[in-house]
Amino acid sequence: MTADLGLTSPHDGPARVLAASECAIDIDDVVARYPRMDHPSIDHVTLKVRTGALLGLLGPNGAGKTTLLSLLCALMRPQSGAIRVQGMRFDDHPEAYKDLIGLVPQALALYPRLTGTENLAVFGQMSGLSGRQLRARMDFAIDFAGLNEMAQRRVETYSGGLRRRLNLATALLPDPPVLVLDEPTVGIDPQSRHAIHENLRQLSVEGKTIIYTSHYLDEIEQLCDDIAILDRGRLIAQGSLGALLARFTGNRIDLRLEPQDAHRAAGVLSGEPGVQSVTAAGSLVTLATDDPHRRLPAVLAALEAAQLRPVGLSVGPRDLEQAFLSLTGTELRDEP
Amino acid sequence: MRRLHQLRAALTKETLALRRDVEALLILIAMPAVFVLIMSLALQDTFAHKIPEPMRVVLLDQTHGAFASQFAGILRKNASLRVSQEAATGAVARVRVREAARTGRVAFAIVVTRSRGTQSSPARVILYANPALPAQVRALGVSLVRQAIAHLDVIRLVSRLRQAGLSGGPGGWNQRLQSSARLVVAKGGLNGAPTPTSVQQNAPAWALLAMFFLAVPLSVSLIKERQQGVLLRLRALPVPSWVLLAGKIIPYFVINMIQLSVVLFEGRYVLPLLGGDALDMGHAPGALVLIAAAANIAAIGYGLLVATFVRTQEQATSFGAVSVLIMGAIGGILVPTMVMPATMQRFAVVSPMSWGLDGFQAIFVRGEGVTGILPDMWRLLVFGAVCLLVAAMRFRRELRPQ
Ligand SMILES: Nc1ncnc2c1ncn2[C@@H]1O[C@H](COP(=O)(O)OP(=O)(O)O)[C@@H](O)[C@H]1O
Ligand SMILES: [Mg+2]
Repeated sequence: MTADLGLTSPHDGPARVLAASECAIDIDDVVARYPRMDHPSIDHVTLKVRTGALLGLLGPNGAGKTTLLSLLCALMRPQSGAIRVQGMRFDDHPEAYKDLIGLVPQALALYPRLTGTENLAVFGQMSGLSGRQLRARMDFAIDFAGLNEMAQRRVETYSGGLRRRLNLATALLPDPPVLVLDEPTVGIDPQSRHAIHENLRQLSVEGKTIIYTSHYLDEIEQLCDDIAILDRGRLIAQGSLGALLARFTGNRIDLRLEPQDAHRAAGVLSGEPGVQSVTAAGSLVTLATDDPHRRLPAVLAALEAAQLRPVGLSVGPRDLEQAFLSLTGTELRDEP
Repeated sequence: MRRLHQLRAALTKETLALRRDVEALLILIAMPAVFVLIMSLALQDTFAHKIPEPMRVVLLDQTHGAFASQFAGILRKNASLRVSQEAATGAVARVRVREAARTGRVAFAIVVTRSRGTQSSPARVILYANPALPAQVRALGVSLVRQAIAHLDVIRLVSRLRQAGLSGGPGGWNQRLQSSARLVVAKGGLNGAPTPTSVQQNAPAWALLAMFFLAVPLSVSLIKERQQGVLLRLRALPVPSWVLLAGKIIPYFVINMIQLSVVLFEGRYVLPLLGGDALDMGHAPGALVLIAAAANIAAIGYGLLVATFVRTQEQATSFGAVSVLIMGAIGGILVPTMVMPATMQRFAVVSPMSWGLDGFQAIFVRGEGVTGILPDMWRLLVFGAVCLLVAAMRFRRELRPQ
């Protein structure tokens, strides 16, 4: 329903021109549902991620970010649709497919009774590493996480930030071309968050394809070049940060109406003088206009004439946070 | 090659986690050792081979005839017996004296009844022995009763001869001489099977209980891996489920073997220092290893089965512990089967722990070798294999994409 209004833009931006070889992740019209749930948790999501991209997957709690990553990592099966990583499907080559992706789970997936080094050794071997190669990758990971002398201590004695960094470093052991991080900075100090962001930028520069989920907009804004916004299982916007800012921020009039009226209102307002574009998503109608305050009386009059009554209204330039709020009708809550 | 490294990793993490979980190790190894020590010493006399002096006997007379009172008189004169008479008669009284023997309050219960309910028919003397009595003691009791009956027969014969002589009437020698009573030794009382010593019962019994108790830490370890998110990470890695299962089975198998060895060593060398009997382990070390391994596999299979069904640590500890205790209670671990009533004894064979215990005692008590333990071994192996199979299927399904 939103697709025809141009709000979801799977073929928009860089994705449109991707050759198969450039496309690291290809999620094609995927629907996924948990057992005994009425609504799908992922609802016809199409998302292409180019090789080397650092994509921020943004969405409030319960939007389906973890579910989408689970599908990507073959922890969960889609009900319909297809997923390819570097052109490969899980069902065709399960083991090789898993070798392509490093998952940094939302929960800290480490053995607390084991030391940092022991955790790295265990997961390194589980990933198929051994011998000199394992030791080299472990050294890299210890360095990457900044474990230093803490490497010989049990993980249960680590600070939250150090655990998060080790959690990330563990996923990097097999040096996978695709790295998938599920809210990797939840509940840590700003320094650790900064360190992780620096690490990710470095990895991105080195050519890894990274998906980074968060419900913190500022974090995504700082870190990622490409953004996808997920809400209630649907991808409601996707594109470069600049493109999204241009589309959803700036001089705007946001009108909230009864959901059944939104489409009609969009039709009524599309001919108004000074209104450059009209988009409707759910109960929200957004007008891009040269001067919101000057145009507002005429807009309201046009609605009145069509017997449409807005229930909410906001006028003026917005930042992405407000854009997100108006798009999803949801606050980006802080607590998971 | 890759599988080998993965298996090593699975073994490493399980072993390290176990080594650092002192409580779990204490439960697994020290608990049975302490139990065996306490229980073997506490129950030393219950299983003792020495003859209690005098042996207590309860007598129930359901005939009120001459034979019974004479019979009682003879038993009373025997210095090695202390005879008390059950005042009540009837079926309830009979159950009561039988229970007294079974539970060891008396060494023997003797019931005198009529065979066919007629006054002229010979009496029937039913002997119930405390099953915990050593075979020699039971044999002694039986022979004392037999002597008493024979004694009465002789008296009767003499008096009859005298009567025949005095009256001069014919037929005294032509009459068929019928014994005045027939002795029936109640089943379970004297089937000739040697009984275990206290430590022969307690050492394998508590070691087996501890083996099955492994279900608790085993399932807790799996639940922790779920909760810590480690299982999620492992699911995202190219590791097959059998590697992870083997990583659990092997360390716990070793722990169980260590635990059993500790208990057997303790029974053999430590217990005598504390005044207990040394554990006699028979003469079939090969059979011992086989039955231990089979019981171990059954225990680990059961533990993994529990682990794949429970979802919380509370469920693991409550369901795991309770189910194992029930199995132990039924299987003659908490209370030896031989002191159970016959109906309960028949029930005991449904418990895998009773198979294990029977296997150990075949070697320890009955001195049997490999052939003697085969039925128990097969039962344990089949039970273990079925549990493992179901657990493996469930675990595999858990790891696969949902
Ligand atoms: N195991 C599950 N069983 C049923 N529903 C689930 C499960 N996990 C998540 N969901 C539902 O799926 C939706 C998306 O959840 P999730 O992917 O965890 O969101 P996010 O990671 O964006 O916070 C939510 O509505 C959530 O309630
Ligand atoms: Mg999530």
